[in-house]
This record gives sequence, structure tokens and C-alpha cells, in this order.
Amino acid sequence: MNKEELIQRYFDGNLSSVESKQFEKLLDSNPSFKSEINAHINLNKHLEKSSYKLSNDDIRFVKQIEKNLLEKGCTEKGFMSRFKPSFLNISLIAIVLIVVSAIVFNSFITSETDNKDQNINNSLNIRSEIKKQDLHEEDIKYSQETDENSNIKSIENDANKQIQESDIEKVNANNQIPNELNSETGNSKDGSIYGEIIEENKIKNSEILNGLEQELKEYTKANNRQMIILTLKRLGVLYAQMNDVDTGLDKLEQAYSLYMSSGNNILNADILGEISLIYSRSGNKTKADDYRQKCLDLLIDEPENLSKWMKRFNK
Amino acid sequence: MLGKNLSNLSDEELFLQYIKGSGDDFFRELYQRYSGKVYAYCMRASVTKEAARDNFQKTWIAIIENKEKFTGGCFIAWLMIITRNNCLMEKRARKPNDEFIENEIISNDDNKIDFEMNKLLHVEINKLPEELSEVVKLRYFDGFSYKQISDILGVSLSLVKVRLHRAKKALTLALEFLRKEQ
Repeated sequence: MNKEELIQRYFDGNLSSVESKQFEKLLDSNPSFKSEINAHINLNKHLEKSSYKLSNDDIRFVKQIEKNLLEKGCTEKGFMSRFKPSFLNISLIAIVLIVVSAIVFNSFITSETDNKDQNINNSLNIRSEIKKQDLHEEDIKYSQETDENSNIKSIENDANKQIQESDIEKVNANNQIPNELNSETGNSKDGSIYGEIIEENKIKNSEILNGLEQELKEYTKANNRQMIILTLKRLGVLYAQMNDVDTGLDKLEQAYSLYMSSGNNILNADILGEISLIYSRSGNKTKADDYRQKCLDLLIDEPENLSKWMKRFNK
Repeated sequence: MLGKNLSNLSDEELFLQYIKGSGDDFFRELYQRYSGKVYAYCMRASVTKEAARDNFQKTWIAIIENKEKFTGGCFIAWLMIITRNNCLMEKRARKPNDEFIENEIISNDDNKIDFEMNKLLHVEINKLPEELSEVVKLRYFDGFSYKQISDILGVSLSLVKVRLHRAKKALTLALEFLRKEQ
């Protein structure tokens, strides 16, 4: 047995009685061996003292984890998801709160307007619902029929939902006043009240539009073509609803020119149809017919969409 | 079984009883046996205290979640393999430019000279090649046997001994040098 092996066995406590005697003999007779053993003893002493000692704070933490592990049912499956539920729960609570507050806000606006003119609201609410339904149908069609990849589809859907459910709804809500009062004059029996409503709603609508314009800038910066087109389309429809026909048409034309390159007839037809409806509402029958024809031409091979647009035009 | 003193049961017996669903007491006993070791290992092997605590929790959660995967053998080796892997993954995930406050070594030694020496010794241990320093830490800081170290590291018993011997030789020299300098 060599010296190193002997030392190792000594520190491991594996020496036999004969080996132990050999070791002690060597220790007494050989000073360099003795100093080597002393160095090992010294090292062991320091190593043993250097181990990490748990502080009181550490011990508290370890106990707390033990408590959590045992209290929260560590013997059951799915423990992980229940042990770390905070993020998921907070997210769910946040979503529920947002939905509830949106409903409350919407009902508040509706009820406030109801008090002003119940009869006008009834008719306008119906119109608003029809518009929402139409827009919703369009959005579903977009997501179902687009040739782009599924990722883009989901982005479109999200964007559509966002715009449709928040912005258009708000604009519709803000437009809960008679058409004649939407004009600049605002003359009516209760002119003063309606004048205030018009001003208030104008501010709200312009905030929504500013938000969308800002988003458009960001999408342009990010070169996100799909989102640019969708935002332009929404802006066009919203501007037109707010009687800013020229800007609305401008936005829709831009969206159309971008969609043209996509070669998707259904999407192109949708934009052309919107343009036609705006011209029709603004009384420009020639242009309305022109765009109407373009829209329908594109849908010759799409009977379902063709009939949808025919219905919308006939309304 | 419950009548029997749990402290007399081996780790493996305790864990198998826990897997069978005999009760949380078996798990509690194992936790109390090894939570200190696992925690100390995490503190040593993680970059920050927060990361160490995170790794500590992850380890015990993994033990519970993967209890069915325990195929027998040495429980402590299995536990330490999971701990080690968690700490390694956390280190790998850390970006090189991340700023952190390194975990401090705590020594209960009242002697200032020894305290300083221990700190220097830690530096020397960390200077050793990874495979040598790890064996030293498992042996002296965590108090594992050679057999347990060989199970944890997945190397032969003789290789553990060789590595430990080499490491100690290098550290003895370093310690002597430090003593002379002081």
C-alpha cells in the first residue's frame, strides 16, 4: 500500500488494526509524513467549518415551504398547478373585472342616453345592433376565408374583436342622437341638451379615432401589413359613421389599394362594398353604384358572400 | 407502520410508503432529514439567494410531481440529482450580463483568522476544475458518503475517491501557501 492510499484510508476510517499500527509507526518516525497528515487534518477542519449554515431566515423559509407542501395537498396529482396558482388566478380575476366594468360602462352610457330621448334610442339601438351584427359577420368571414396563415388570422381576429367590440360599440353609443342633430346646426326642440351631447360625444369619438390612428402609426412602423389594412378599414368605417365621409373614403381607398395586392377577392369586395355604402349614404348614387358593381363582380364565384352583400345593399 | 418510529425507517422505505399514499408523515420525515442539505446545496450552487430559494422549491415540487418515477435505489442520490439539475438549468438560463449579488458563505466560526481562511479556501475550491470542486463540496459541505456521491454524479466509486484525493492535494498546498502569506 502506498503512502497516499494509506492516508486516504486513514481519513476514511478504513484501516485495519495492522494498518493502523503501521500508520502510527510511520507518523512517529517520519516528520514529513507527520506534517503532511497535519496539513490534511487542517484542511478537513476548515472544510468542515466552511459548510453553509442556515440562518434563522433560511430556517423560517424552509419551514414555510414544508407547510405549503403539506397543507396544499402534496399527495394529490396536479399539485404544481395548485401550488403556484397566483398568476393564473390574478389573470382570471383581471379578465372578469375588465369584462364586468365594460358591461357596466356600456350600460351606464346607454341608460344616460335613454333618459334624454327614449324613442330615438329605440330606433337607433336597432340600427346599431344591425351594424354590429354586419360587422361581426364580416370579421368572421375574414378570419374564415383569408388565405393568409393561421397566425395572421388570429391577429386579425383579435384586432377585429378589439376594434369591433370596443371602438365601434363606443362610437355607436356616442352616436345615440338623431341624425339631424349630428349635423353642424344642432337645431331642435331641445337644442341646448342635444348640443351638449353632440359636443361630449364628439370628444369621445375623436379619442377613439386618435387611438386607432396611433395604432396605425405603430403598425406602419412595424410594417405589419395585415394590421395596417384592418385598421385602415375600421378607421374608414368609423369616420364615415361620424359623418366625415371624405376621410372615411380615403382610409378605405388606402385599405383597398393594399388589399388589391393580396389578390383576395372576398376581402377586396368587402372594402369596395363599404365604400359603396358610404357613397350611398352620402347621396352620391353614381359612385355608390360604381363601387357596388365592382364589389359584386368580385363575388361572382362566391355565392354566399354575394348574397350577403346583396342583402346589405338592398337595406 | 405508523406505529413504528419513522426515524428508524430508511429513506427508501419512507418514500415508498409515501408513494403508496400511506400519509404525509413519511414525506415530512424525509423533508426534515434533507431540506437543510438541499437548501445548503442550492445556496452554494445558485447565483443568488432568490434563485437558490426558487431552486429549492422547484426541487421539492419535482419530487412530489415525479414520485411515480422513483424506481428504487438511493433516494438521497435521486433527490440531489434533481437539485443539481435545477441549479444547473437556472445557471444556464441566466444571461451572461445579468447583475447579481453572489451568495455569501456563512460561517459560525468566531475566530476571525479562521473565518478569513475559510473564505479564501472557498475561493480556492471554486478555482478547482468543476468535477473536483463538486466532489469536495458534496463530501465536506454536505457530508455525503463516497457511495452517495458516486450515485449523485453518476460516476464510479473509485473515480470519486481519485477526484477527492486530487482535490485535497491541491487544496492542502493552497492552504499551506495561504497560511504562510498570513
